[in-house]
Amino acid sequence: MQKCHCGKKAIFYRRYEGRYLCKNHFVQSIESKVRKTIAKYRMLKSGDRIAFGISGGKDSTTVLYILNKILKPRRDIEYFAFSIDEGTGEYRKKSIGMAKKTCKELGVEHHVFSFKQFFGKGMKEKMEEVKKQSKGKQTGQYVTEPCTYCSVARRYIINKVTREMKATKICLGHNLDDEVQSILMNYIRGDLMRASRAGPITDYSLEKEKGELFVPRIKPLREIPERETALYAYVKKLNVCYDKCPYVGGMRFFIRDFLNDLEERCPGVKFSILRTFDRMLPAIREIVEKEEGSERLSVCKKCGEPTSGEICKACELWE
Amino acid sequence: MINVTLFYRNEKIKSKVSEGTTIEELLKKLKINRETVLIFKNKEPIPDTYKLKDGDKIEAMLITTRG
Repeated sequence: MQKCHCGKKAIFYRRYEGRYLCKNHFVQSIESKVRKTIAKYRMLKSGDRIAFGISGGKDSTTVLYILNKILKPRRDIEYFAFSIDEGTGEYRKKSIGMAKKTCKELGVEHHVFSFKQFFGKGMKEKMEEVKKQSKGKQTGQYVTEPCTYCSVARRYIINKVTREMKATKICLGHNLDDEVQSILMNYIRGDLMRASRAGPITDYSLEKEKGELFVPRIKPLREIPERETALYAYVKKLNVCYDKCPYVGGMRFFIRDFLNDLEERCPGVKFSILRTFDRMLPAIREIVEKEEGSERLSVCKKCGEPTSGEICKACELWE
Repeated sequence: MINVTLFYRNEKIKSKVSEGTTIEELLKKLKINRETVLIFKNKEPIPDTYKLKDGDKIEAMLITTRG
């Protein structure tokens, strides 16, 4: 039987550290890592009003659960949670049900916003519409990727509602795997602008005019591998939905598989990519500021939300 | 050789492996990436370095299903 350093039965082998962990030491290590990440990047400050994006999945539920422990005793920080119903049918209904249950148990105020509320239709209707419109057109002439429509609409709603609800920060459940996938995606697409906004806290300081329209995002789980957030949620018996989104696919998932193959061969490689990116981030921001600094910054002519063009992506894809 | 059963994505996979084979090695043989699963024996999580015994019933829970 494999044992933890304390002598108790191990439940997990953390390969990149070469150590076995029992249930208690595993939980402690995750919570301590989250606290360290928050402190290291100064993610929280007195007077903050945090909006937790909770889907009902393992990552967002875990981050809300751990931060609720940290924030509950603090009188100087307010927080609430919200979920987005993309209109993907049973999958989302079930996960939002889990999110509601979690918030009720933790005593956290919870709000639900839907694509239908903002765009008059959900993902199901939108993708049927896209299918009809793209008929006869060649690949590359039309955006058919569901994740593009979904992420654009979700980002739009999240930013708008949290700003209107006077949140000072949005807390997301992005784990190490999500972060590293995004780093590689930005690299592959050559999107330095987006790369410059990545990191533990989304930084729009480069775009000063837009700064006030964007609510900064914090990611306290960015140094926790996906497998470990899943194990944490399991051992803490959190209400988590493990169902799969019916539209899941796209480049992110090829990169996810590639990174998992790489991690299997070279344990710790995801951390190496993250650390290297974090070291390069100031240089990336400097390049972007030099090259893109003069780019005209504006608000969308249709909806008034921030954009780098005349019309924002949400209006372009959803109207 | 020993007989082991792996439950993975609603499938029951029976395998014959040599004594001392670890779960990690079994996953490799079945082309399942260990980074994508959590391992359970009798509903309790266990390390993937666990050495399989004859008759073991192991569950590999897929965790990369988000969207």
